[in-house]
Amino acid sequence: MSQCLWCGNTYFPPLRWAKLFSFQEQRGFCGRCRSKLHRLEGPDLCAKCGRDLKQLPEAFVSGEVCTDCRKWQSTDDPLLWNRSLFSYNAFMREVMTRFKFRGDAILIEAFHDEWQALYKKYFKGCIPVPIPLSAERLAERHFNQAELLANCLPVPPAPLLIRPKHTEKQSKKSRSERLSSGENPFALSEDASMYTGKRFVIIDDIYTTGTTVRHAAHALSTLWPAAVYSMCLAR
Amino acid sequence: MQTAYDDIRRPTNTLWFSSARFGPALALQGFRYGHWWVLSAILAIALCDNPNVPTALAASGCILYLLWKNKPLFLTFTVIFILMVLDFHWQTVPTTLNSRQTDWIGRVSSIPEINGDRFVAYLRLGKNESVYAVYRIKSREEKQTLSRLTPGMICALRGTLTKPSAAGNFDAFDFRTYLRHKGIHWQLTVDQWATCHEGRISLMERIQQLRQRGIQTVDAKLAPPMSGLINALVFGNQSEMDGGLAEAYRNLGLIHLLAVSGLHVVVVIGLSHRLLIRVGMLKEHVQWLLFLIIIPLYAVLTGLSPSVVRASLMAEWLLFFRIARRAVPTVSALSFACLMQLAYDPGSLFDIGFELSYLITFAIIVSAPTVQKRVQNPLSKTFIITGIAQIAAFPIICYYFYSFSLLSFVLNLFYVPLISFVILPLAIVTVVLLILFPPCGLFVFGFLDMIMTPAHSLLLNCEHLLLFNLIIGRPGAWGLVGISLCAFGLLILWEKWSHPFSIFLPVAFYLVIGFCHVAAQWINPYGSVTFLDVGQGDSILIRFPHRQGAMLIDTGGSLPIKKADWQKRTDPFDVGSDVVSQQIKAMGISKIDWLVLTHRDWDHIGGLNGVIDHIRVANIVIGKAFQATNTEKKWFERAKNMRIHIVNVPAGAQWGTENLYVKVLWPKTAISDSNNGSLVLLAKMGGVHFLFTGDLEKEGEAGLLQQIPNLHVDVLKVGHHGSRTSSSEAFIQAIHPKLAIISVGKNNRFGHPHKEVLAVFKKYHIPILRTDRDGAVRIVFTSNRILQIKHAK
Repeated sequence: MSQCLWCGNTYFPPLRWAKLFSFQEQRGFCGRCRSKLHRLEGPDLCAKCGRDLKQLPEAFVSGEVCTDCRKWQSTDDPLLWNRSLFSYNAFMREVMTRFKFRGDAILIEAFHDEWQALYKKYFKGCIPVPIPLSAERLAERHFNQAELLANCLPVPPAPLLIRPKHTEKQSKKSRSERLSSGENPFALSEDASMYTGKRFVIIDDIYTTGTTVRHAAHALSTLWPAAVYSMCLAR
Repeated sequence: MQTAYDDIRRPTNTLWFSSARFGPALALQGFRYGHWWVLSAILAIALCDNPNVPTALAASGCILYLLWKNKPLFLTFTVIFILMVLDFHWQTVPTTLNSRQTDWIGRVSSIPEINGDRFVAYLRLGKNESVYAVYRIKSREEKQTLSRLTPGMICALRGTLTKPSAAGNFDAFDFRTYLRHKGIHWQLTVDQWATCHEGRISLMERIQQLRQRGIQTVDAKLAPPMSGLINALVFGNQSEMDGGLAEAYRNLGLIHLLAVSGLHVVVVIGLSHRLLIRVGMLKEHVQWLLFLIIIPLYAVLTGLSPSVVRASLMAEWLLFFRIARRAVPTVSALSFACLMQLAYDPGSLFDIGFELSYLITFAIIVSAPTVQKRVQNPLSKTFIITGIAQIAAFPIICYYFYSFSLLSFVLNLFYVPLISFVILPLAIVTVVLLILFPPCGLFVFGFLDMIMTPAHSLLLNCEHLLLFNLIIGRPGAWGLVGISLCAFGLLILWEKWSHPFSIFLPVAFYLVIGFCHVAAQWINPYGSVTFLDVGQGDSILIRFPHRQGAMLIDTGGSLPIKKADWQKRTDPFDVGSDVVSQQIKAMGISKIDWLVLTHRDWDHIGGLNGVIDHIRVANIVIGKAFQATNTEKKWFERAKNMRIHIVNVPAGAQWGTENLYVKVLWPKTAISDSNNGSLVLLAKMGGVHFLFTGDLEKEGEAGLLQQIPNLHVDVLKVGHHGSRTSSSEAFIQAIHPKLAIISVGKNNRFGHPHKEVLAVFKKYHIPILRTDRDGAVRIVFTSNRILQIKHAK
């Protein structure tokens, strides 16, 4: 039996062939909490940002991609595509709040296996690059959620980016503010040059408008990367 | 004065506190690790039944090492193990009956099975000890009278207690062990029934009587073979199933459909639930009704077979928690049912129905979440679940049936839904209507017949496609472990590998198993000669080493006796299909290259059809003097249609190499006497000369000696089952074998073997092995020596 990481109730994860004789207690969400998460998979995902096109009104779909991504495509977009595990619904918002702002870091264990599977499916061979926090924010939060996510991957992450200036939280800004903030908050770290010409996948917790990961992708573009993707827990 | 610590000091309080915490903790552990508890119980029973110290130490060592990481489970595992050992010893009681007593008063404890002139029932004698009672019915009137016997009746009768017969052949079904696992020590052969009267009847017996009446109604009003099928499906009574049809179901891996299976219970519960809700009952009331009455009643009405008990206990468990509004994992229901059933009757562990039912259900429960995640449409789900059930059942099917039909998967896909969702409800409706309003019942029965007649003829046709029959043979202990590990590995692989190609994994599985089987035969340096126990008659099976072929000398056969209609059984015994072909399969032989028929006597060739129907045969070999009558000509014609060559060999013909050969010695010319015209074979195997004489009599022996004066023989198959018309002293003296084997039936009416013949062998100090006394005899040889001589009894 296991305890649900979210609601704390006892639940019974189903028996599996591979775990028939192991005593490791699975850590995860119980069936009821799990069912509130919306997993992004199947053929109806936006080819670029990976959101579920079926959940969007018709007006926001433009062929294989959503209209947001169509706009990005019209600019010089450094990001090839993004893939996420879950859609950013009300429940996911609660999960993120508890995970990030209240510091319940253990929550990511519930997504560990799927997170790894997602990496193996779309980004095999890419170097994970977590989005950094500024020194002030790190001191305040004590952990970098993107780094935790990157550490879950089977490949060791490369901390190529730094965030020299302390800026306001993205989550406190509106969409237009985020899109219009011209200045790139990210810079390359000193020893980044040895990664020239590689394929990268930027790791972050949430992809909302896609500005943050594109800033990061721009910062990486001086390395002449073969490809830059991003992988976020929620979209 | 009361102190602040008073509460803590009170010992009763702490005890209550800890047990209140301990109970739920234990229950939760059972939910999560129930399968470990079951494993513990199984291990305990297996060990008590057949103490094998090294294996036991190794197995328990491994398990305890694994469990050491989880101390609470370690504790419960040990406790359950000990409890189960105690339970086993408590339930196994030595006999209290005196075998010299002949007059008995017994209580009928099962529904008597009457099939042709054979009567079988379980009786309770003396201090409540069960015996297996058999009786040969003498007349049609008596059959009528006996059919009125019901469970709970008390009968005075005369009969003798005998030990149930042990298996006469290697790896064959052992009736003695089977009864022992049911806690029965004796077979009671009834000579005469005196009086019977009703005793005080328990509720259980009352329901059994109801069941019996149902079975008899179906028998009386409907025509076979459909009546047998309906009785099997509705009442779980397979005994009246048509023999050929039941065999087809068995050989094609569909036998679980004839047993009232867990799926049937689920269907019946589902249907009655829906019906009651539709009638207007409250959901809660329906649940209680199902829990208290319908499920237990249905279980008893269908004869409490292991799969029914399993499904019913599981349903009760799940329903209980549904009523109590608590969520439990499905697998806990399975563990609970298994532990209950084993505690009540440890011997059921050795029942094939029990093993298949639990194993397949477990496999399906564990795989269900993965299936759910992977496919959505019901057709693909059925496809995958059928595959999983096949894989899980494979080791057990191999062990009990020695072979596996590759058609099984396809047929299951088609027949499981047909039988469970169409035929079963129709059959239940038929039976209910038959009792309430017979004409309507017959009308529905017409429908059933219309669907099942073509379905059955399809099955019978499929059964004859021997090419699809993968004959593995009975795996040894390590083989069984290997096959099980393969199946387990496959399931893990399938779970990990979500690619659509993963549905082809079972194909790879069968390829690997088939390859290993063939490779093992290529490597196997041991050959063997087995003198099968076919009752009165001959049948000798030779397997050459390194997969160089197999030879069968004679097929056994029982004399056909004219029987009146009421005496005919629905599944008449046939040596060829029930013994010889089973033994060939058990050895993992998929093809007989040479089937030698020494001469045309019934006890040598009577089983021919039974053999060629079940095993692929390349050649039928007969001698120059084989006098085929019309019957044999017809059989050979049939064999030719099955692409079997009929080869007529002259004396002097020889197959094989210098160290391993079979040579025809006799007859040189056509001989008018059938026995003396027997084909005589000399074989050199393992550096030793075997002489197979068929029914050669004294004249033939003399002729043979004249032809080859210095005939050297080490192992002699004694001519004509030890009759005194064979084995002349001169012949025995001349060839002086080191071992003689007599293939003869127990208490045969010819009085074989004759004591004069035995005396001759004794005089020359030649040891004798007899198939009636020692069971089948197997001589294992390598390229240059005899490795082992063993016999089945």
